[in-house]
Amino acid sequence: MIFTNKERFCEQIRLCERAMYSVAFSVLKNETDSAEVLSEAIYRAYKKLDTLKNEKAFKPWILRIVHNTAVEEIRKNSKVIAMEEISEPVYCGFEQKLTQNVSLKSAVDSLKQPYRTAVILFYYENLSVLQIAQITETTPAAVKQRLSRARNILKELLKEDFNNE
Amino acid sequence: MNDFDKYLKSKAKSECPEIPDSVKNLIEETLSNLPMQGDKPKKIRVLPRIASAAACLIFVMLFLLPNISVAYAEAVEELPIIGKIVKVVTVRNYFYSDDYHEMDIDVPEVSGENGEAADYINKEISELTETLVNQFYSNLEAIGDEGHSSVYVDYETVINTEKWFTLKIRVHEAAGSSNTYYKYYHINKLNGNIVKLGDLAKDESFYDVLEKEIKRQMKEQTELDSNKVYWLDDSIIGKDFVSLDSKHNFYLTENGDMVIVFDKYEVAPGSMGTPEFTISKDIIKEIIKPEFNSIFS
Repeated sequence: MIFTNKERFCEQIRLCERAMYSVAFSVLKNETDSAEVLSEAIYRAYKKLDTLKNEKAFKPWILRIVHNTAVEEIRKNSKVIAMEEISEPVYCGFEQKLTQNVSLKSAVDSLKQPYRTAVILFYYENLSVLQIAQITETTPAAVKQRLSRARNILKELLKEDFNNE
Repeated sequence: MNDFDKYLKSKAKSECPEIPDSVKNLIEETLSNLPMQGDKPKKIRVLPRIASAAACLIFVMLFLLPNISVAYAEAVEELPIIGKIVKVVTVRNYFYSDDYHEMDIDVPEVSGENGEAADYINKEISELTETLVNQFYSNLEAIGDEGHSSVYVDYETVINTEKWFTLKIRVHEAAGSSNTYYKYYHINKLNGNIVKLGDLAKDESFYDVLEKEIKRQMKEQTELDSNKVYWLDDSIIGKDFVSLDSKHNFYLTENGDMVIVFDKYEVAPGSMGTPEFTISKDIIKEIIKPEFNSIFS
């Protein structure tokens, strides 16, 4: 077992909590549900600690558990359809206000799943394509495709701001 | 695309989303409620060995030695029994564990010379644990592998002197968020009766004095430490929740002070845990029935 005590586990969780919240929120888009999912994911991770072979892999490992728990939550409440079935537009309902600067956050929030999670993990959490593929249980090629499509949308949404840079 | 990528990265870095306090608090609460790693296997491995060693020793002392040694038999007969003896032992353990659900319930049994009082406590505890076990199994069926739940019950003999006996039961339940509560049972060994908080009261002013003292201590604590929060008149809730009744949890310390115990969420946010307030015996002496004077001394 990598972690010999509870303290060490808690430290690691605190280091990753922001990323964990981003992942949960990117799937659930709701603060209360995300908090519940994090709590549940922490319990699960703690029970399965002995399956973690390398301490350096803690972040992707815990994010994968958070992602799984969040997706289960969605399926349980059947708020949306399974991710693989999404083939519609990559983004939805973003009100473009040309008069003001668009924040990246609001642009990202307007993306549909699974593009939103991929973008958050790649740009905000600086994870590699391979790690994102593991966390979201898909292939690196699919992650690259998601990022590329999302990038096109973001470029459209943020072009004013980008051109001003 | 490279420039745009760089732009996205730097923008993401500058925006750096914050995690809401409510989420942070729930994470901290979850962490503080995790069981200690490695406690369980140790318990399972060690206990039978101790139990079998103890059984051997008892057998040797009670049956073997008296029968083979005349001197020992005489010595055992003459052993004086001091005071009234109350003993607590674990009589049952309910255990269940899978990837999602865990239950570990120790059921104690009180025995000794205060027979009626012990029977009362044993009955209460067995009702409580049976309810928890049934609830656990119905949760297990309802939740299946779609969530996590756990229930832990253990106990502790808080005090066991010539005059007084207190048993504390701790119940910890978790399913998403968690809850911890305690039950205290007291026997006044001087007359063998079960004692509840209300039995101590000389008159109604008893509760007022205690509540006032607790609120004073809450204010003092929050002034000294801004991290502490109690629900008092001047808190965000705008109403204080300190309300004692005749069955409220309490216990006595070795030096005769009284400690009032609140359940989680009863008078403060969950992050404060289960707050305890020690009321000095000087205050207690003035408000209890004279028959308990010798206990608070």
